[in-house]
Amino acid sequence: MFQTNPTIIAIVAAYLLATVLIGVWATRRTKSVSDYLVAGRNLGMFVMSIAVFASIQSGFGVLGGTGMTFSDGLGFVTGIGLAAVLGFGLAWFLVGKRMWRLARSGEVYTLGDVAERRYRSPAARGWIAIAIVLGVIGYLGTQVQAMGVVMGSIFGIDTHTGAVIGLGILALYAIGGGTIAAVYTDAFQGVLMIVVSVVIFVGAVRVGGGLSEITTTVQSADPALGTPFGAFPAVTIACWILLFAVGAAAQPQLLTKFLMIRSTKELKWGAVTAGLAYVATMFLVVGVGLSALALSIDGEFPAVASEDEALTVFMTEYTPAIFAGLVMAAILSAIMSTGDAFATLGAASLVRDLPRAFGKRVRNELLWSRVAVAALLVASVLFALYLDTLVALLGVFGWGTFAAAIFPAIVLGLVWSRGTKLAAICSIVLSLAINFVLEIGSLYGFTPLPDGVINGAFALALSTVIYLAVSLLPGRGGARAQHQDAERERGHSYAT
Amino acid sequence: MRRHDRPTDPLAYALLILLALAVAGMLTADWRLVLYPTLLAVGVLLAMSRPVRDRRLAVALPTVLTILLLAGYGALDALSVSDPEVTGLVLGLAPTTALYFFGITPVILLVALAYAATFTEPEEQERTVA
Repeated sequence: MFQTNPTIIAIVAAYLLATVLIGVWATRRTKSVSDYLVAGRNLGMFVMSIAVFASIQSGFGVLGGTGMTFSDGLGFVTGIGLAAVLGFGLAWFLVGKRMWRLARSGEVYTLGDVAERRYRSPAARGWIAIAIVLGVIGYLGTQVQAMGVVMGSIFGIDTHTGAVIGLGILALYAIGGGTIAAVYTDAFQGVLMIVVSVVIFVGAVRVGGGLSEITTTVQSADPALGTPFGAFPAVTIACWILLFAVGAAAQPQLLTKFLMIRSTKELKWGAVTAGLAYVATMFLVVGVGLSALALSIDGEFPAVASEDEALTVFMTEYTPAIFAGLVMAAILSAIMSTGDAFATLGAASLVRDLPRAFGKRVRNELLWSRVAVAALLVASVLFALYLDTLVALLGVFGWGTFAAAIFPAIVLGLVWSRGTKLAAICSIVLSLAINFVLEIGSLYGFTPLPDGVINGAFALALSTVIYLAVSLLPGRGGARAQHQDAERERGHSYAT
Repeated sequence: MRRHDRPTDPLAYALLILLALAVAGMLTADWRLVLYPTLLAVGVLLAMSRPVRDRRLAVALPTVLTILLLAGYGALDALSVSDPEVTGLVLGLAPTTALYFFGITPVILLVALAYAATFTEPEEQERTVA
């Protein structure tokens, strides 16, 4: 913990005030369920793509990424950060226009709606909703933990209190404004992250004595630290590339943005914009992570209780207060932009998808969605306190759950018309089982996979194999029978 | 047959095999058996996408992008294997890191750029599909 600084507090307070004001504005604009869940389907390219980038770039990416670079070199950037950028391109190619078309086909607000339309199956909707709710709680938990670390650093309070205060502010705008509040605060927060990241990269490299000096120093401690994979096992990097390239295309906070755009032309430059924005924030991770590592090797960096504190400690110890304040605001941006997106997604699953999976409809979806957002935020605090482990590890847990459950059933299902309802349900159920058995098992020493293999990547690959294999099976569960039946029933296919 | 009506089953079989190989790679902790099938799977997925299937040069785009990705990671693999502790700096970075940032990263961005380059507005009938 470091001493509080009035300049940092003033900048962060101004940022928090701005987000609350955007939330108030968004709440006034929110009149219907469509507004609350898909921003009235009126987003332009810039807001949509920056919101995509900001909701993907989470506390895990900024705090956890800088921490992992500080401890083990560049493997996080090459295995996760840049792979996610590849995932943006894949997402736009695979489902951009399809999702937009679905949005125009009726009241399609959630991935559960997409699943039911694609497979004509309330069960598929229900299982997708369960996957999203479980993943949302995991993901929100990581954001809460990260928020606690940052708020504690800024205001000199303990992390639990910091998490509760930060979450309270998020709740102020997320409950009232829903997706409109989320995407417009995301756009504001995303732009802030981009600008700050590039500026701080230059400053951080200077603090470390220049790129050559930093590289030479880290290589003197361990030659692997200067390489793209860092000190991470190569199999970990390979797993991350699979999980974050293919898995990025299956993150619900990304996919649902396709339902929110006003026309297809908004898609054209979206992947490029989101990708470049994400790359810009990787500058922050590389610059601060490596510079702090070099300083640590030289014995000039303060001891930190956790690698996740590397970024906040670096900014307050080595940069002017105004930059430190901006970075703190940018970190909070990363955390809150992801948090608000997930809170709304989870609420939609609870209020819309799960009841509809059982043939029920909630009467006042707008009201109950707001109640559900509040409930999820409270649940996420409890989850974060119960699973008190590293922010980065929990981040992979949430990401892997979404990737393995949603990629085969939704993304592949929309591009491959032979994918079947049975295959979708099998892949979702098994992906949840594999993820949770492996992740929870690892907490109790059950680690059946070789060292370095990422559970989420294994679950993603296996669930996709299961989806393809079951769909290709001959007989009732296989594609031929189901595809022909479905085509006859609906006249045309949503998956072509 | 419209271009996007071309059967995607061969691609689905290819994806099945590639991801099964990746699973095998994870079970045996063989990183190459995870990485290279993953890169090929990215190419297969691009080939399955409708913007690619709708274009006349359907095969070229995913093929070129996959070859570039394979070449980048292959060069990285070769450079690391031949000398895990390559000395010297390129633009202040270790040579393999410079290769990653200046060789592989642009290809990654190229995928997003390819989407913009091949983007077409849907026909009116498609705009109003219900």
